[in-house]
Amino acid sequence: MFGGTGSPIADQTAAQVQANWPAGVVQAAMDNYLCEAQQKWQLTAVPNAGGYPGAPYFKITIAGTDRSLAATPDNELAVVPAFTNAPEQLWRLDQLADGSFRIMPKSSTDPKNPMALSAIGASFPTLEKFDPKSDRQHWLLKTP
Amino acid sequence: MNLLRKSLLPVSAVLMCMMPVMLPHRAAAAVYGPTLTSPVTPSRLTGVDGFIPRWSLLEPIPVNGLTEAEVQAMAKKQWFPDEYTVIPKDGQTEAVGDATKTWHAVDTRLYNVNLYHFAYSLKKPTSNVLFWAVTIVNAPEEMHDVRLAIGSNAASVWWVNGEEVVGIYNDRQTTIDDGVSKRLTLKKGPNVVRAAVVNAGGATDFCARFLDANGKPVKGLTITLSEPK
Repeated sequence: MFGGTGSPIADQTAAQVQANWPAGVVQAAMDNYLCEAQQKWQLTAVPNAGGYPGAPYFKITIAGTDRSLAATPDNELAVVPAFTNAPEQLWRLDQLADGSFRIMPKSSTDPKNPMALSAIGASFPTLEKFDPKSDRQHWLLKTP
Repeated sequence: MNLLRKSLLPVSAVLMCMMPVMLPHRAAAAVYGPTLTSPVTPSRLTGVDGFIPRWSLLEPIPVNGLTEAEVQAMAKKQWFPDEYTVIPKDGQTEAVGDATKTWHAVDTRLYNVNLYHFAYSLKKPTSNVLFWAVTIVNAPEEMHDVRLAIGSNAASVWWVNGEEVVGIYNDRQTTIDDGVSKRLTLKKGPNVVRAAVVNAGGATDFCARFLDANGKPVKGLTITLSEPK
């Protein structure tokens, strides 16, 4: 609503704007949340992809698309055009004591140095060795 | 922000003479507004905050646009020969279209490089402009898993040793470590850092530093504007 009149403006959807998105692999970035389509991520459990009892691996896609968050071999992040069930596109979610989540790629195979989704600087995510004391690696999951 | 600037001032003001490089051609230090002067020493070191205090700046080029597509197009356009490889000398000129633009060597006394002060002091436009900036970061040893961390008002694109490593877009204020590159390696000796900074209106500036593998600023890098002979 604007000035107490009219009705709430509906959130932007991917269908409205994805024709203008770049094709191929794109770098993941962070920005202030403005209800834009590329800022809404859908977490979907992937059956038969491994995991632990009650804790399957998830795919993380831009809502309304098949564009999938993926770990890269150099421990950075990318958004690939389509989900392929590859280990770098499967994510383990562990809820921490404060209610937030640690998010780790299946492709992070070193149990002594697990890599977790981390913010770095003000505008980018990366993968870093998990540090329980770092708030950069505690992610809150909320319904838009 | 004022408190931060005051606390960073003594660190960024440290001057060191370490490397045998050419001095700028000017006999006396030129002044570019309240925060920038031409260098009077052969080199400077990054302090505990890690910010790079010495740059070559090209006079502003008129442009229009701040979106990622617009700024990427500006960064990819050949404005002058060797724009991705030139190591400019103070006073060197470039032909940009029908205009002649001059490179200026500057030291900043703050953590950031104030492009508004730079352009205004030269009676050049400060809005709807593109600035090219170049510096040389001399690493004492090969450094792995470092990241270039930058902030700019407004959009900017950055290269290290010729490789594009980070870009931030749209109208924004300078925020320390706003954009952070992927992990990269600084080779022992000179490494060229290059930036294209685009402003739409109002204030314009940038800051840049390297972060180590633990996210801490890399201090003790020797900053020059020409490669050692």
